[in-house]
Amino acid sequence: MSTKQTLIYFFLIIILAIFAGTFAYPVPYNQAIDALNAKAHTNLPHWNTPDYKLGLDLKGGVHLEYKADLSKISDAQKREVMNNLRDLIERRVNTFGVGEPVIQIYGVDRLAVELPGVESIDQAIAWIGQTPLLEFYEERSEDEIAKINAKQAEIQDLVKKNEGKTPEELNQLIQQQIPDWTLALESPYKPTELTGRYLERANLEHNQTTGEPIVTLQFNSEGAKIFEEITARNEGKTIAIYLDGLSIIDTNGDEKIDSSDLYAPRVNEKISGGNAMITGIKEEKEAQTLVSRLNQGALPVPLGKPIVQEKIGPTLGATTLDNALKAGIWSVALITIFLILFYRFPGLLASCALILYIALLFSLIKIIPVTLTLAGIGGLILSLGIAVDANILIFSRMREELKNGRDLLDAVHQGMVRAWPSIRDGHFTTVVVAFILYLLGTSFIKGFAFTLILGILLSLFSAVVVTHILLLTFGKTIIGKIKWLWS
Amino acid sequence: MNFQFTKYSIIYFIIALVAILASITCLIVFGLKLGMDFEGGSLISIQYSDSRPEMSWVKNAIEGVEGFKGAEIQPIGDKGVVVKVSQNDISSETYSKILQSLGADNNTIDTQNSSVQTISPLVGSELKHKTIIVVIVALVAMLLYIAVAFLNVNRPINSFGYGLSSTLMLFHDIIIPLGVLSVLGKFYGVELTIPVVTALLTIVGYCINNTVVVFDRIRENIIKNKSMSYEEVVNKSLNETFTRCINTSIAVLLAILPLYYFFQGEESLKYFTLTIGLGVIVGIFSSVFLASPLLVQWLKWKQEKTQKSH
Repeated sequence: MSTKQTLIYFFLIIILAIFAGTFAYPVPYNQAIDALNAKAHTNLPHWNTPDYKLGLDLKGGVHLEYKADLSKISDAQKREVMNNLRDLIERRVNTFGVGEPVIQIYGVDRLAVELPGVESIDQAIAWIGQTPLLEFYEERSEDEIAKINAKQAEIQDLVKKNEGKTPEELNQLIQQQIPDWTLALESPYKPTELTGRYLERANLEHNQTTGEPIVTLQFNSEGAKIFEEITARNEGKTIAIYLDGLSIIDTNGDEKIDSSDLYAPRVNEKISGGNAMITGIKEEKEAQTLVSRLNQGALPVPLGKPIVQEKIGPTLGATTLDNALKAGIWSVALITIFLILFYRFPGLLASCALILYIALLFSLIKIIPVTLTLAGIGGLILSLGIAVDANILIFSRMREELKNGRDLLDAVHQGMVRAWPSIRDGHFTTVVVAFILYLLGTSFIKGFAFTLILGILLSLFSAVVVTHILLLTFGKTIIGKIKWLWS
Repeated sequence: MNFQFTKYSIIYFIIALVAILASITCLIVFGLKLGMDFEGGSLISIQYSDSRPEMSWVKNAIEGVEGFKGAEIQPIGDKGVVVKVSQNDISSETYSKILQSLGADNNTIDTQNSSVQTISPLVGSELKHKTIIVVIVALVAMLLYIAVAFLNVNRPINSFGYGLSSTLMLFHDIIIPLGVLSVLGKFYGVELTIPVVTALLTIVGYCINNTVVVFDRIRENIIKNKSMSYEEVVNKSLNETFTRCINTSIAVLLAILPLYYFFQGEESLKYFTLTIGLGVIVGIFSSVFLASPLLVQWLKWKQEKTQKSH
């Protein structure tokens, strides 16, 4: 490599280091920008990077694992049933406002549920464990609806008159002044006797000419009779479909389901024979969700009790994270000291490469994003030890070549070329094992294996490219002439 | 450095054999203490705010709670206590009872830092099955990889020999830490948990790495030094790679040492790092003193056999 090329690569590495470093940890950069903005009256922007995703063990929360009872489900349907179950739990958890829940299917019949920030295991289990309830509601009579509307208008008037009062005061006023105020809370729909247990299956089909999604419902014989009666008395009206007491799907597009959502297809005519069709659905995804949720009610799969339950307190998570950071810093410090003591100047360069390696690793963790768990951090710290291995291989080779009387740059080159097969085979075997761990493992093992693989691959880059360029760059300077620094 | 690694190889083999036999004996006599991950059960971890009361007091307090007679109690860190029971259903009512009785007599519990974990035995039986598969797949993959990677060095020992030798080393590298774990389990309550199994499997990958580096050097030196005997080549290669093997192992030990130090109060990482540490140390011995000398002995034995038959 010519001196010019080496220098270009060297500056590229410096730029990469600054970029990765500030991306992984933007705080000092942003502080510097703030200080600069205040002094020079400039308006330079902050470096807004995504936050690290922390696993439950570092953040606190409840972890549950379930085994679904799929004994009555045919093999072909198992996947679908599990997907439906996940959707069901997701829906429930979202309704209760848990931030960033993670619900994963693993294996054939397992579901892992992670609820960050939830404190009580019993409460979480109660939320999730209920059998889903699918209900069909019909419109109330016009009389009743008029009464409800009147009551609501009455309350609104009262609220208008008393503008400026706190919600508590308003509530009190309403309770005192309006008789039967609870009527206003009633929905314009009332339950029918038709529930999920009369539904055999829902299917997604498509209109043959327009391609529009159609959801078909198939009731059993008892359900067919009830459905016929309901449709007969509600011709031209709507029937609302509820799951767990709330609208079956999100209808106002705010991606959460609450009392403002209502899904109510219109009954065009009396339907006998137990086969119904819902048309006029605009989006394929909406139709899919609808089918999946109808089937949750039609084929309720009992979840039973969780097979694993774990609660991690929020400060416990923070303490763990703190300890992991301390351990990481100490690991880097010890390895750096060791490298410098043993390999002198190349050791110092390898330590620089190691720090760049850490910055890159954390940048990748942010970008991918990898959810950091304690096991994952274990993998990261172990990968530090393995990351320096490639450097050690190269340096050992370099020293041998220097002893044989080669000049420095030649020794760097030879050390690189000769160490490569060992680096390749050694790293490859470790990656193979980590990969097997990843494929077959449980969540602890997966977290560990993933960061270990990431770390090993990146360490190849760090040793083979970064350390190499650094060695060449400094080997060409005056430092390259001082022999004792190098061996 | 010029050390005759193969000269005393019989002694190393005897040491290894004794260590392996001792480990197997320990495993048979003491067995492995399987952790909650495998056996199922509940683990309640309590942190005291100020200082931990006497363990005998804690034992009395916990036995007062219904269903917790004979529960296993261990001190953890400076202020922590871990309670383990085989039942896998702890309601929050039971949990608050435990908090109450362990927090009696002016001992305040830091509830924010206390936790419960329960696992059904169902998970464990599956995990055992899976772990065995992982180990077998990893071993076979290693054997195949080395056999293929060393295909071009069929003389004087064919590439399969390298694969076989390194697989034997893996057996050595895993069985000895397991033996140590069974002793630690018997006397210090150390358990075999998922993190420990993960550590054992990491050792598989890591120790193969060390052995491969030595084999690589042998491969290179065979081609470079055609006039040398196989034994000489092996000795030369071991001398050349010795410093690197030691240094890499030191680097790994330095990386995990702080991890062990900062997670003494946390069972999963503590035993994980302990097992990795054991494996790394055992791995130095097997990759330097056993793997290649074994090949030399094997070759000698084969040559003697062919001489006899002539």
